[in-house]
This record gives sequence, C-alpha cells and structure tokens, in this order.
Amino acid sequence: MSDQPHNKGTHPLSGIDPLIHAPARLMLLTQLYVVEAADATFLVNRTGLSWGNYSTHINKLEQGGYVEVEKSFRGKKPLTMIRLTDRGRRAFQEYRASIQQALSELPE
Amino acid sequence: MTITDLKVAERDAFRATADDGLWDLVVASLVAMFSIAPLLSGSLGDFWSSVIFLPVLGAVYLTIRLVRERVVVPRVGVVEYGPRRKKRLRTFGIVLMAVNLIALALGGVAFLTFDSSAVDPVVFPIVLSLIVLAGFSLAAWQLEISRLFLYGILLALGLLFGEWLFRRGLASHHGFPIVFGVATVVIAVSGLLRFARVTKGNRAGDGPRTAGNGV
Repeated sequence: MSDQPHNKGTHPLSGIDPLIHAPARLMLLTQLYVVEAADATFLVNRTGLSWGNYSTHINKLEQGGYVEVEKSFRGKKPLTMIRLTDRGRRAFQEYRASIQQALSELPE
Repeated sequence: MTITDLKVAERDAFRATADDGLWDLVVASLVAMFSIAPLLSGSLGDFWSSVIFLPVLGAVYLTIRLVRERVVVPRVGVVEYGPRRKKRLRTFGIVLMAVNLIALALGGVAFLTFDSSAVDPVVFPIVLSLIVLAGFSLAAWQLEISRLFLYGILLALGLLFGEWLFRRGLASHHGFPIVFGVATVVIAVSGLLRFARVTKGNRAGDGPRTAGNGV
C-alpha cells in the first residue's frame, strides 16, 4: 500500500496554510515579513501584481487576520499602510518551516 | 527570490526605497565643494571660500528632499523598515558622527599644534585617502550599497594622483580641482543614472491607495 496517498494529517504538505500558499499572497507576505509596514505602491511594484489582484489578495489576507490596514495622512495625501499582524507573522513562519520540511523530505 | 532568501528580500526592499541616486547627488555636491573651494581661496581666503558653499549645499539638500517627496516616493512607495534595518541605520549614523567628530578634533589639534614643515607633505594625502576610503567603506558596508566603496576608491586614489600631478607641476592646489572635479562628474552621473532607473522602473502609485476600499 506504499503507493497510496498519505492520509490527511500525515503528509508533510497537509499542514500547509492555503491562505498563504497562493503565489500572489506568498509574495505579499514575504515582502511584509521583511519590513515593518509598507504601502500599496511598494507592494505592487515589488510583487508585480496588478492593482486589482493586489486588492483581492490583500482583502483575503486581511479577512484571515494576517495583515492589518492602517489609514493615515502623509502631508495632505492619504496613505494606507499594510502591516503583518502577529498571527500573520506566526503563520508565515510556520508555513516557511512546513514547506522547507516538505521539500527536504522529497526523494533526490 | 526564494522564500528562504529573506535577508536578500529585506536588503532589496531597503534598496528599492532608499537607494534612489539622490544621495549620490548630495555626495557629488560635497565633492564639488572640494574642487571649487581651492580656486576661490586666493580671492576669498580659506574660510570664506568654504563657507560660501553652505547655502549652496543647503539648497541642494532641500531640492533633493523635495524631488524625493514629489517624484520618488509616489513611484517606489512608503516603507517602514524592520528592527534590524533600523538598528543598522542608527548604528551607521552614530558611527559616522563619531568618525566626523574625531576627524574634526584631530584636524583641529594638528592645525593648532603641529609643525607641518617637519612632516613629508606626502603624508597628508595618504592620511586623507585612508580616512576617505574608511568612511566610504563603512557606508558601503552598513548600507549594503557597494558603489559607495567604489566612490571611496575613486576619491582615495584621486587624492594620491592629484598630489602626484601637483609635484610634477601639472596641477595646482594639490590637484584638488582636477581630481575632485572628475569625481564630482562620475558620482553625479552615476546618481542620475540610478535616479532615472528608479523613476522609469516603478509605476506611479495611482491604484488602490485612493480606490474604493482604500486598500
């Protein structure tokens, strides 16, 4: 039965967080993980996402509690900064550990 | 970028927002001062030939801040750096200030007490070269911007080359106008190229910052 797929919970990839696993959200979270906070222009430029895609994925991350959106003013211009929450930071660390473990367990 | 390259991602994020070429123009204007001031010292004296540049440097600094706010920030965005970067920048600022104060103190003591005729004149450009190279190397290392190291080498070698030209009667004022003039052009062109690349390579922020959900 060794060629059967792993049961749920035993395969290394089964614990992967689907909210992070999408490439667009993974790119956004990676950028947010390495800085304290960033605005939309920075994130769009660094990830190469379209503005529409960016909004969609940031909304999903916000709904999941992984990022928080802070609105303020820079001079007279409105500024929206995105910040990783503690939960988002922990989730990213766990995701990173899980994916590294899963990849290291793959046969050569 | 892979997910494990977080240090690289952090460095790239810093460079993307901080390394816009405008600081190169500030450095170029400082270097230009060393190129032009010796030529003015004959008519204005050593003190005023330096002081006259202060309003010019102030104007350059204010202009660059304005350009950064109006041109660069809308294109590259706004970032609050992480604790590691903040600590690094703070350390750099403190060390740079300490180096400047020590250099100023040593220069003052040497000016007041030292009999310069007792020392081979070649010692001064060598010491100055080492100080310049150390300062730029420190900046290159702390800011992780390698071209600052190249600027340091350019200026350090330029000082020695200027002295060599001066001793052969090929340049006046220890070669300062020539070597610092050339260095000014090199640094300014490098900064302008970097600035052009940054402004062309980034889209201006006209998207969700003001869109419906404000995200």
